[in-house]
Amino acid sequence: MKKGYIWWWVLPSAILFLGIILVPFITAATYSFRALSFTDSTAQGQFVGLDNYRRLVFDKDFYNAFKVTFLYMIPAVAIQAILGMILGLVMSGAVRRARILVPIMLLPTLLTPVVIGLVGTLTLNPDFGVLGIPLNRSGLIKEAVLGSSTWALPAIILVDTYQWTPFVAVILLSGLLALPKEPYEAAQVDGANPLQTFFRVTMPLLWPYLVVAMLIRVIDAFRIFDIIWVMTRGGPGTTTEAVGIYAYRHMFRYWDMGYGSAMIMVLFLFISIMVEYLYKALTTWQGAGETA
Amino acid sequence: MSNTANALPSASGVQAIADKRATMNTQRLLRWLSYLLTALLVVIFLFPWLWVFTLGFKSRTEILSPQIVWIWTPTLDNLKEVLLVKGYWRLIINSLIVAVSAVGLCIIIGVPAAYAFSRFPIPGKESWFYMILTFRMAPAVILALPLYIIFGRLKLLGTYFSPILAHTTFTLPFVIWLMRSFFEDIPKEIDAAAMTDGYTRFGAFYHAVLPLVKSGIVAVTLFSIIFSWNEFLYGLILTSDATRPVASQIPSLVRPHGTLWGEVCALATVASIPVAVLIFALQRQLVRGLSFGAVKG
Repeated sequence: MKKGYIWWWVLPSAILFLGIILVPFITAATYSFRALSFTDSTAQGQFVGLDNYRRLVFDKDFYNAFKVTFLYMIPAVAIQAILGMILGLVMSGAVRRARILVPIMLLPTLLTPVVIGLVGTLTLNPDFGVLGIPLNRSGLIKEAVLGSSTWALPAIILVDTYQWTPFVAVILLSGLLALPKEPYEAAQVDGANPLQTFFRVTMPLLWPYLVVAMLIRVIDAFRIFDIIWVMTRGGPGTTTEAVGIYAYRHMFRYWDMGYGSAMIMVLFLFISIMVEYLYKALTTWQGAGETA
Repeated sequence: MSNTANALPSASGVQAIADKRATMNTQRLLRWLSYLLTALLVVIFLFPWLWVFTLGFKSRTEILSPQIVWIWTPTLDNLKEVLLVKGYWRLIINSLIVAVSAVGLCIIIGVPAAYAFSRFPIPGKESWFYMILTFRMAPAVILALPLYIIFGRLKLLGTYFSPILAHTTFTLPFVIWLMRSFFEDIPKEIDAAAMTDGYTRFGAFYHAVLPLVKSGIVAVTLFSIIFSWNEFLYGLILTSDATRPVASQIPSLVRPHGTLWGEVCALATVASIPVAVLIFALQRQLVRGLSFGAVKG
């Protein structure tokens, strides 16, 4: 085979990747060193060095956005890992007989996120929501859940959990169904109780599945946008303003291109560090799968 | 087993049989418990959706009633109003145009690339894949602004081209990543055999390997269509009212006051049906698609 021949296979994809992903990204990288804004006539694209980054370092709202993201991410991912594990274990008994359960359970995960946000908004509505009415009447939460600076973020965690627990469960389920029998027989011979069996046998075998599911969820947490946009638009105040919403506000409300681009670079750095872990987890696993 | 073969089993044999029966009974009990719990969980997971979908078929007073209305005569008024009178059926067509074009393009160019990645010693393969995964996982806001600026310069804003091209930023990485995992399941000997039969490399790919990954291609296609259909941000900022996909329009129908919930829910229901159908069609490949092919579902 001629050497240059290989490139024809990847050339169209490479061109598209270059044109639609790399060029825009590099453009943003250059903008991050310029003052460029549609709403400020003095910012005409002149070079300003690290000014945008300096501004970012001192921007309280930027830290708030990260804080909100972590305040949402940590409980959400933890709850989803635990509930997902329980759900996976419960389903593992039934799913062999009824594979149809998998798509049913995954409906919240794969149906349009905007609609999920709508489901959250409506069910939590204090006047006519199926969840909001009892919450309101029982006096548990007196204000409108999504208008409350205390309850808006927990509400988003709740909806996110509703959406993503089945995802974690199904990934773990695929691991549970692939578990080898021998360690369990050995554990039984040794007289291990169910709890010991779970923590000593099941958990270690499921670990790689859990790692991948959680890594995907952690990175996904930085992408959260649609649900928050529908439910609170970042409010009340900035209590639910996660990084995506915050960046959107600066880019498409204030039209601050230079500053927005600096934000993009910092976010990208963050994501790429985490993706590195995900990449390793995925590839070692695929490698292990091939030898098995 | 020798015990059971005797006419009079020894005492320990009887004990063993009784033990076995007991464990079988507990197992059966556990299985039924699992069915029951699963059924309960399915109800919990589906209930909020179903409740919201019912709102699309209720009148305004029934929706806003502080006492939830459980029994009512379904009305199609909301559906008619939002789709026909307001003309939002266009949004569904827009979603379809964008999803089919973006995914079609990515399949045509991405599948050969995935094959190349699974077969050829491409220099820097690992860094390419790392980059592909990074952009697959990056938040949409990272590319939204640069794409807005570039499409603005090219006078593409408001046309179908801008959401179609923007959606390839996540469908192309997904197609290449997942298709490679399907190709790697196919032994390389198949290509070799086809080439000794006189096929060129492309002939071997097209005639021998491609038919074997057909179900994989279908899965990747359907998955990508779901992702494109669900996408919100690009569809919002890069389009005009005439070209906006349905998912990007729904939030703007929710207002602080006086939202026509019946119509919003009716539109959301219509927008969800195609995705639900695809999810059931995907059944066997769901797990693999969701975990980037790492778990063979």
